[in-house]
Amino acid sequence: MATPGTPDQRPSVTASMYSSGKHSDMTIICQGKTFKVHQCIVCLQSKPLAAAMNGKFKEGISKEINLEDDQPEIVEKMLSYMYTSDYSDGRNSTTSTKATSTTTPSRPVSSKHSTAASTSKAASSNAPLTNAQVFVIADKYDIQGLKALAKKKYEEVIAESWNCASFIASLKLLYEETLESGRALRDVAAKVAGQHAKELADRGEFAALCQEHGSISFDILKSSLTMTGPQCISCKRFGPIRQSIGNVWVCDCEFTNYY
Amino acid sequence: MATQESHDAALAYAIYESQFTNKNQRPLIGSGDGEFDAMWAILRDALKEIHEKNASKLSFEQLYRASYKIVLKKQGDKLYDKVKEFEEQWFGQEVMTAIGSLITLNLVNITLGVVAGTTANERRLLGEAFLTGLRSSWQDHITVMNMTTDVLMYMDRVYCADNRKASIFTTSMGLFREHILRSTFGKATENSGLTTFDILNSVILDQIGMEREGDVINRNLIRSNIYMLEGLYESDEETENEKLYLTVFEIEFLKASRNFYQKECQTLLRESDASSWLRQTKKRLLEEEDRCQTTISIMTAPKIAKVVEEEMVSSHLTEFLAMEGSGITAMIENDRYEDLTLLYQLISRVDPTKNPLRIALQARVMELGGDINKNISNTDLSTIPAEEGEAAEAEKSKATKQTQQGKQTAAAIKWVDEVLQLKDKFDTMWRNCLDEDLILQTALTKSFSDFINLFPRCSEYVSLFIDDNLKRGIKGKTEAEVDVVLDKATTLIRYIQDKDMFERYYKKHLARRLLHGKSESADVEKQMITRMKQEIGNAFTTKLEGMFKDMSMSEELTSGYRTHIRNLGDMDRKVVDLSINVLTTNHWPMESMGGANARDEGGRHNCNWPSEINTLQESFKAFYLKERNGRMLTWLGFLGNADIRCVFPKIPGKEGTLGRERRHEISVPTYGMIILLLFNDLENGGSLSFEEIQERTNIPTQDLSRQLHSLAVHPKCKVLTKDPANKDQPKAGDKFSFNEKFTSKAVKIKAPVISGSINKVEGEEERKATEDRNDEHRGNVIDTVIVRIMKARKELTHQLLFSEVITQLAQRFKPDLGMMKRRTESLIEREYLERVEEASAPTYRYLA
Repeated sequence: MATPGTPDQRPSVTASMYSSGKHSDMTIICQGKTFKVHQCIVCLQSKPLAAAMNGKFKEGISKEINLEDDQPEIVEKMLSYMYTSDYSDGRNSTTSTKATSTTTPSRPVSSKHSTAASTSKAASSNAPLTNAQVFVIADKYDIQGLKALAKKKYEEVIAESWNCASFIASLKLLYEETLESGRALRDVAAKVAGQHAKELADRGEFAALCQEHGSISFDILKSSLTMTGPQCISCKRFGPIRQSIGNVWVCDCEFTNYY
Repeated sequence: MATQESHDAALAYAIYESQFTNKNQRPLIGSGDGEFDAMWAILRDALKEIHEKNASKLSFEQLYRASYKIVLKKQGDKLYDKVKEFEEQWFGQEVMTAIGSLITLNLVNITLGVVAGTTANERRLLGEAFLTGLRSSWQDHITVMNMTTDVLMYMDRVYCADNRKASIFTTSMGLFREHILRSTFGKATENSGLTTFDILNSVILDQIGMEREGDVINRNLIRSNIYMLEGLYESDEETENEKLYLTVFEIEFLKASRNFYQKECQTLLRESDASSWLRQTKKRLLEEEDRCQTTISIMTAPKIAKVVEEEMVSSHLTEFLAMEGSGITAMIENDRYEDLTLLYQLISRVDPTKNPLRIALQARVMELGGDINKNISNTDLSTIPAEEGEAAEAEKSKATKQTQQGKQTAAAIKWVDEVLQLKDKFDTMWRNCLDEDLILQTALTKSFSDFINLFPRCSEYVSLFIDDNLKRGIKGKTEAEVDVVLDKATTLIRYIQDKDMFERYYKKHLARRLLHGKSESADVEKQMITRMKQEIGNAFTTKLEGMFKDMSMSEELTSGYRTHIRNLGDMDRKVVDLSINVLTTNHWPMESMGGANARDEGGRHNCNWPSEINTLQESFKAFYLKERNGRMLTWLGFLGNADIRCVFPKIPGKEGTLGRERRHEISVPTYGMIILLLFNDLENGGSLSFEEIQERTNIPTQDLSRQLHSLAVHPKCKVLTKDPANKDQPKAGDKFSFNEKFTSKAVKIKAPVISGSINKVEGEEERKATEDRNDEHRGNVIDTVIVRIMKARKELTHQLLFSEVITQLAQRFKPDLGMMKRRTESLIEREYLERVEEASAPTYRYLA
C-alpha cells in the first residue's frame, strides 16, 4: 500500500509497468489469457513462481508458465496485488484500504475477453468468494502479504454481505482448498456463519453444505456456542454488556461512538 | 516425449477427478487414494527424470500443482514417505554403485595403513579419482535435491512445518549421510567395517600429507569434498556445531597434523639450527593458514594454528633457544633481527608473558653490561696500583697522574657511551623485532638498571657524561641532535638507583660549569634540569634551579654595581672591574668546590686580600647590603679568577723581543692574583720564600703550591722564577722572584688551569670522601623519614617501619639496612623512639 503523504512515484511506476507490459521478461498464461509480467516483481514475491523461473524445468527455459488450474480473474488479482499492493474485489464501497484503488489497473493488456463488467450489485454479491479465492491462490503461491490482505477484505465483506450465495460458496472453497493449518480464514468465516446460523440455515445451499461437510458444521457449531448472553449491537460480540437501551445492547466497544 | 505425454494424460485424469469430486460434493477426507497414486506417478516419473538430469522437458507448474493437490488432500505424509523411499532406492541403486567402483582394494589398504607397493603418485591419482567421484555424486545430489525441493515447496512449507518434520532437503541430506558416507563396503572390506567416510578422511589426509611434503595437489577437489562435510550434520536437526566436518573430519585432521608436526619438530631439533627451525615453523603456520582458506575450512584455522604452536613452538622452545651458535645468544650477538622477529612472533603466539624470551634477553643484557663494567674496572685497577707503586718518582708520577685522570675521565665517558650503545642495540631490536612489546621493555629496563647499578661509580660517570656533553659535546649540534643527547642522558638517569649520589655529583659538576663559564648553552642546561624534574621530581631539582637563579641574580648585581660605581664619579680611584657571583650557601656544594683541603678547614677559610681588593670588597659589600640587610658575604678566594695587566720591562743589552717592553694580560685564578700582587711591592730582583708568601696571603698550603706551580714552573705562563729552578712541585723553602725575562707570543695569556676547575673522575680518596659525605647525608635523611613516619603512626613494628622507609626513599636511593638499623639505634638513644618491650614482634614507639 502506498504510504499516504509521501510523493512516492513507485506505486504508479510499477502500476504502469503492469498496464503497459513493457520490458516484460516473463509470461503467465492462464486459460487462454496471457499476462506479460516482470520476474523482478513476480519472483521476488512468490517463491514457487521464482523456483519455476530459476529452475531447470521447462518454464525456466521458456520463461513462460501456464497456470492452467487457476482462474484468470484470480490470477489477475494476484498480479494486481504484486504490482500495486492492492486488488479490487468488486465492491464499490470505499474503505480506508482503498486509497490506491484509483490507480489499480482493471485488466491485463493482452486480455482479449472483456471480463465480466459486473454491476456493483453483482460484484458485491460475489466479493466473499473472490476474496476467498484470492486467499487460496496466495496460499498456493506463498504470497504472505496477499494472504493478509485477502483475509482483511474477506472479513470486511462478510460482516455485511453474509446472506448470499457467494458467502456460502466461499465457505465451501475454504474447507476444500485450504488446510486446517491455514485456518485463519476458516475461523473468520465460521464465526460469521455462527452469528447468523439461524438465518443461514434457511438457505438451501447452506444446509446442503453443512450436511456434506461435517467439519464445517462442527466449526460453526463451536463458534455459535461461544456466543452466549446478549449481543452487542455495535460490534456483534457476545458477553459483558455495558448497558441496555430499550431492547438494544451495547458493550464497551463503541459505546460512545454509537450515540 | 513419450513420458511427457503420459504425464499429461495422468494429470488430465487427476484434474478431471478433482473436478468430478467437487461436483459430486464427495467428502475430501479419507478419499482419493486413486488420485494420490496418479499424482505420485507423475511426481515419481518426474523425480526420476530430474535425477537423470532430464528436467528441461518437465513442467514445473504441473509438478508443483500435483504436490500442492496432494498436500491439500492431506496426503502430505504419504508423499513425504514416498519421496524418501525413492531417494533411498536411488542412493542404493545408482549412487553407491558408482562410488563403490571407485573404492579399490588399494584405496582400502591405504586407509587401513597397509601401504604396500604404492608410490605417492599412485596414491594421489587413486585418491583424486575417489574424491572426484564423491564430489560429482554430491554435486548431483545437491542439484537434484534443490530441484526436488522446488517442486515440493508447498509440502515443505505447509506439511513439514505443521508436522515438525525435517524439510525434504534436510531429510535427503540425512539420507546421503547414512547411505553414502556411513555405508560399509561389502566386497573388499567385509571384516574391516570401513565406511566411505573413513576412506574419505584418509584420502584427504593423505593428500594433505603429500602437500606438506611438497607435492602439488588438487586443492579445489578437496575443498569441494570439505564443503560436502560442512553441509552435512550429525542429525537432521542441523545444529551448527554438529557439522560432520567438525565432528569427524576436523578431529581426524588435527590428530594427524599433531603427529606430523611432532615428528617434524623432532627432526628439526636433531638436524637443524634454531634459525631454520624458526623459518620452518613460520612457513608451516602460513601454510596451515593458507590450507584452511583454500583447501579445508576456515573454521579450523585457529585450531590447527594451536596444534602447530604447541608442537612446533612450545614443546621444544627452550632446547632451540639454547642452541649453540644459532640460539638466542647468537641472535642477539650477531644482530639477527629477522630471527629475533620471528622468534618474538612465535613466542607471542604461545605465551603472552613471553617468559623464555624475556629471561634470555635479560640474561644477555646483564652479561653484556657486566662486560662493560668489567672492562672499566680493569683499566682502573691496572693503572692505579702502578701509580701508587712508583710514588718515589714524584715528578713522573705527577705527569702521569694528570694524564691518568684524563684517561679515567675518558674511560668514564667511554663507559657511558658503551652503555648507551648497548641500550641503542637493544632499543633497535625492541623496535624492529619485538613489536615494541611493553612486557619486554619493562624487563629490559630492569636489567639495564640492574647492571648499571652494579657499577659503583655509575652516578659519577653519568654526571660526568652529561658534563662532558654540556661543555663540549653539544657544540655545533642542531636542536634535534641535542635532544637526542639529552634523551640519552635522561634514560641513564632513570636507571640510576642512588639518585642522591647522582644529585651530589651533578651539583658539583654543574657548579664548576657555571662558575668557570664552561657551560656551552644555558638553554640546554635548563632543558636538562626540566627533564630531570620530570623524571625524578621537584625536590631533586630545586637546588639546581637555585644555582641558576644565583647566576642570573649575580649578573644583575654585577651590572647594578657597575652603574653604581659610575654614578659615584669616583674616577681617580684605581678602577678594578668587578664581576661577581653571589652564591647561596645552601644551593652550592661548597665542600666539593673548594679543592682538596677546603673541607678540612671548614670551607670558611679566609685569605688575606691585598688592599686594592679589600677596598673593592668593602665597596661592593656596602652596595650589596644596602638593599639586603642582615646578610653575610663570605669571599671565596679559591673560586674566581682575575685578569691582570703585567708590564715586563725591557732588558738592557738584549735584542729582539727581550729588548722591548712587553705588556701582557694574564688571566689567573683569584689566588694567583693575590700572589702576583705581592710582587708589585717588591724591589727589583727581590724574592719571596714559600713561607713568606703563605704568611702574607694565608692561602692553604696545597692551593698555594699548585698556584705557584702554574705561575713559576709551567712554561706557558712562567711570570715567576723559582729557586731551585727545577720542575718540582713548589714546597716550603723554595724562593720565588719576578721573571723579568718572561716572553710570550700571545698578548693575552691564560694561566694553565690547575686541577679543581675541570670536572674529572674522582680519585680513590676523593671518592671515599664523597661517599662518606653522601652517607652522612643519607643518615640524616633516614633519621628524618623515620621520625616523620613514627610521628604519624606512633607505634610500628620493625618490619613495617623499615619497608615504609624503603618505599619513601625509593625515589632517592636504596637505603642500606645496616645504616637504617644504626639510625634507629641512635634515635632510640636520643629518645625519639623507644622499644616496645611487651610486643611479640620487635616494635618501636614514638616519644613525643
